[in-house]
Amino acid sequence: MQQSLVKEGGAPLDAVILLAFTCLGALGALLATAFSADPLFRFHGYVFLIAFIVAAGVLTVGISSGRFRGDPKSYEDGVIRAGVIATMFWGVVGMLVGVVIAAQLSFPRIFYFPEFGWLNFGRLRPLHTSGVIFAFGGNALIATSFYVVQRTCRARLAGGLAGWFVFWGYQLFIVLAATGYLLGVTQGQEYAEPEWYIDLWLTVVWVAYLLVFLGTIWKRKEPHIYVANWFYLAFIVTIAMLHIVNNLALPVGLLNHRSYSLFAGVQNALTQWWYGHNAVGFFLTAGFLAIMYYFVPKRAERPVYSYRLSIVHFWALIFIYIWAGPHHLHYTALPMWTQTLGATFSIMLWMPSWGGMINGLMTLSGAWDKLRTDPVMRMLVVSIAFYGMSTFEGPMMSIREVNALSHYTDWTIGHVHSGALGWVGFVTFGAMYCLVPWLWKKDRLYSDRLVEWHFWIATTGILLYITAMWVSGIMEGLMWREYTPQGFLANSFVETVSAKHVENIVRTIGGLMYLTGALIMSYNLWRTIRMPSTSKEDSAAALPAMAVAS
Amino acid sequence: MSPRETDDVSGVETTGHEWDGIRELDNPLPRWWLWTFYACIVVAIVYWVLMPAWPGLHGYTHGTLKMSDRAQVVRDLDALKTQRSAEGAQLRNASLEQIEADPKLQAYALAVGQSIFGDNCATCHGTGGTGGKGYPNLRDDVWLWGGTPEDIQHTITVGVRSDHPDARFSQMPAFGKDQLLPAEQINDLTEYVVALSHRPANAGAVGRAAPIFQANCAICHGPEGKGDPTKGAPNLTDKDWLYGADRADIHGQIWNGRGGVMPSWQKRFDPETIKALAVYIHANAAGQ
Amino acid sequence: MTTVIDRTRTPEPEGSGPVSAAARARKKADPGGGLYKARTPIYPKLVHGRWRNIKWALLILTLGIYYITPWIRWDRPGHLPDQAVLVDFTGRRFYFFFIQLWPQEVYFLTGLLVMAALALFLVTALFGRLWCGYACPQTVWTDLYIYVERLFEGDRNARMKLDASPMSFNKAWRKIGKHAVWLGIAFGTGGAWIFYFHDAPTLIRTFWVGKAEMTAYVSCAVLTGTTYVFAGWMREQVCTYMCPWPRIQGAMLDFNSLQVTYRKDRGEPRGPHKKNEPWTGRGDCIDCNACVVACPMGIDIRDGSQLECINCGLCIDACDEIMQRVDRPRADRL
Repeated sequence: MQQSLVKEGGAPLDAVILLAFTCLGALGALLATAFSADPLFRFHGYVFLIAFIVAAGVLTVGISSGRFRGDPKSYEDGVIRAGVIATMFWGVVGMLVGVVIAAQLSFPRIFYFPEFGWLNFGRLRPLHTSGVIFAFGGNALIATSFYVVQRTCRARLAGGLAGWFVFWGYQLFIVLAATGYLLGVTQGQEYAEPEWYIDLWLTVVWVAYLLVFLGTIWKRKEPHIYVANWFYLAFIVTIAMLHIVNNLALPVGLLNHRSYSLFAGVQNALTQWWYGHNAVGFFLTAGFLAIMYYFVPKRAERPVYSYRLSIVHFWALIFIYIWAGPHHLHYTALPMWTQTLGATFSIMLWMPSWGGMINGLMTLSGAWDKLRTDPVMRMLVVSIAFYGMSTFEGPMMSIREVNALSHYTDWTIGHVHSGALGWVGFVTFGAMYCLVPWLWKKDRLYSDRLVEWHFWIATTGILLYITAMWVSGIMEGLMWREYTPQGFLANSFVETVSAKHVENIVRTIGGLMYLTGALIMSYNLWRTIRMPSTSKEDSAAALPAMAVAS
Repeated sequence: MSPRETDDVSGVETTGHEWDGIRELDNPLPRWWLWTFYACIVVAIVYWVLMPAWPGLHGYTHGTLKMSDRAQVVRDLDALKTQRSAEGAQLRNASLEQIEADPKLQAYALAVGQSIFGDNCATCHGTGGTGGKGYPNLRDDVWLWGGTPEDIQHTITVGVRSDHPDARFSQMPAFGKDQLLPAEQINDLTEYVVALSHRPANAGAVGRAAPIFQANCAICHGPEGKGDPTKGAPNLTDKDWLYGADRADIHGQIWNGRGGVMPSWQKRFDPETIKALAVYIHANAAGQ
Repeated sequence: MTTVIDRTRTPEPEGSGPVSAAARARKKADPGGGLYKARTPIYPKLVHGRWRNIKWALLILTLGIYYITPWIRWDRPGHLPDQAVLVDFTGRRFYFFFIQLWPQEVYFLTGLLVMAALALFLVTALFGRLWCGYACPQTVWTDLYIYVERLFEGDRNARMKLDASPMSFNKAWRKIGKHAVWLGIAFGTGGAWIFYFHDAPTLIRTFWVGKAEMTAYVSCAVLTGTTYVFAGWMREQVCTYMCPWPRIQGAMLDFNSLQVTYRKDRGEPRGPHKKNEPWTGRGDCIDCNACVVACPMGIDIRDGSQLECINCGLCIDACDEIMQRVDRPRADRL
């Protein structure tokens, strides 16, 4: 594919391959749609068909007009710009759905839509989780990884149009998954709800992603691989493995949307939570640590605190995280020895997780006064603080005795959101605030004051959210285990649900504030993009080393 | 590769690597980090020694404490059984009247009933047992299938329109949907039923509907519309309406003839629990 | 030179400062090499003055509340416990003077926590890291531990000399005595904690004869351990590396927040000053290092705002003493 970049005349090879692929895909989708008796499968066949036809059309026009000939003397930034926009779009959508389902839990009489089955909590909840984790978080990871790997390798993104294929392929995956949830296409496995054919599509996209990333590292003009790239690579490789193993399933038919997992009973549960926990570990921790490792030192203009720490904590984290999954299944049919191992590996995970926090934080020593002037810096710092808090809370909750109180309660929801809103959300916001002026060649954001507003509204929102969930979780746990003197449960489940009404409302308000912050941010970024370009031409350092002719 | 140099602010050497302007300091790790990491590993090892932990070819290490979740659950359930047994046995042997006559036994039955009600009955009948549209209110003195403790006990045991062979069963015809009566007669009947519950209604319609009521409804609801608990036919003259009180609701019920299902609880609960539930529901209801 | 609380709007020039004293000390302590680095010991010197007095007062107040509260009695009817503040896990009730909370009423706690956190946000945004410098248990107990250390080993210079000296009877008894008292305080801390969860007068009897619940012994042991390790050994490392609150606080400050800082405009150019020399053409800082040796976090406040600083103000007291001696104005006289 690299040859196409330098070969003059004729259509670029990568575009031609991609065109052939989309045409074949369109044909396959057409056949599947025509012969399937399953209306849900047929609907998704149509989605595939439309996507492939549009892609083929765009490719044809592009090839005939002579575009797609990448300039090896510049970085591939177009796909990153698209990624930034997609990140913000899916972020707002995912958070909005989160607010809706929080309102449904708070006011089931008002936010219940019996005539629209697809608006029920059960359908919307995976839309929220996958929307914020995979659509918002995933797009942020893909966009930042493409940015970081090019800059820190001083090489243009490998594979020509493959980067664009990864981007649009991933958006198609999101649309398929999201519409599937609403229609009831689901495997019923948390964070792995999409059915077999959507999983296969994601596998194709993800392998392309891995090849683009590896190819760029292969071409690098720096002697060493930067620590952020280790984390990105760990994230890409491990997610591929987790995704494939947990989604091993047998479809009911090749033209049917339904499938059955290869694992049964407790094996299925353990595989699922091995996957689920490492989705947290390698998607939401390793991936976002990579973001931190580039954007924090870059923004603070300080060297990374400790190279040795980054090596030690990287390998400790990678090695230990993968074993911690069973702590999601304490006091279940899972054999007790497995639970013990899960809990102890989670406890040992504490310091490796904190290695990232120390490194990010101490990087700021010497630039601490920047916190008073730079609101973007504040977001990054607070995200590191939340990272530290949730990676302490996690090992604590994995201890069986603590878990006996916290499991199945809102405490877990609070814990997840202190990580999701505080760490993942804020570090992404920080990175996006950095990226937009860099990518669109502006010397500043449209408004720092709006960033301040975003910061304060979102931080207060997180505070409301996690305190409410913390208190309601502990309350639920205490109420569930309360017995009457006669030896019967003192509280029915319904009573515990109505007891946390107030907390649910507080949580909804918190979520609404967080969403408001994201909307303010979207406006600010949009205005930044529309500002007249003020940045000077790229300096030599901002350009990749010349591609070597092959 | 840039040469190793000293960072001005911290006085620490860099590693000499540089990527896109980012350099790395060569700080050693803080020692407390290592010690805490070791401490966590020690905690894990102690845990492994005490608890079931590592799998082998033949089973797994059981740990010096010989802990087992399954054994613990059995112990906990046994402890609960012992806690419940003395009064539970009394409950089994006593009749419903005896239970209600003995304040101590009654208090016990109420506690059991409340606990069971909350997690099993409240889903439909509401936490307070006040019901809702289509779900009977258990707190008032209106009973479709009889409100004595024995009636209640029987209803819980066999259910209503359930899969139990002796289930309480009644079926109101769907007069409109199944075209048993013309639409205008159903409109008239609606007025008639409104009049039955002592509310102002269209006199002409009431007059026209009287013979229709006697021909079609009186078999179950009685000639005066006072209902019949043996047939599960509700009283139409009171203020209590299972499917709503206003004209549209009444019309809808005559048209569709709805009837809800309550499961039989015989397989889920032992007889003393059902007794306790009956006592609890009876004690919280008014009358009968 | 004096350190003052200032509201200056001028940002410090970046990266132009000298290599900090802390950096110099670090370099001296660590000749390089090795994957891990031990803590560089800090020997804070005792100072006198306004901020030190406030810290003493708050230390007595907060520790007093902590130790005395479980002993306050409050008459309640019937079989209810007579302890004013009691978290009764077995009975699943929380008693606080006239309030009695059931598990399903814990939502009060949401409001309380949210209000407390918002108050802390507000205080931080207005007055800086007051919590860290004055009210945080880590600061209070560390202060108490340093006080004990001083009783046994003397002030800064004596302590440094003692640590450098070879083992002797004198050194041994001072060290043993210090650690014994530390452990005693730690045990008292863990011991007081469990009184919040059981009837204190009963527990204090059953505890000693081994008849208290296992959880009481375990919590007491855990708190004894953490107090001893955190206040005796970890000290400023807890604030610098482990606690998330300093970063969140750091993010809440802006130019209108109160902050302890070095006033370059008054202090620079700094340098030694001989008696009767004129003060014109130079700053008030005589580079005596009093602020550095007083700092419990081991930083040089003159290097500008740093993430380690807990805003305790002891450097102000240290500076004021010196400024009075050389006949320059105190920080609060400006």
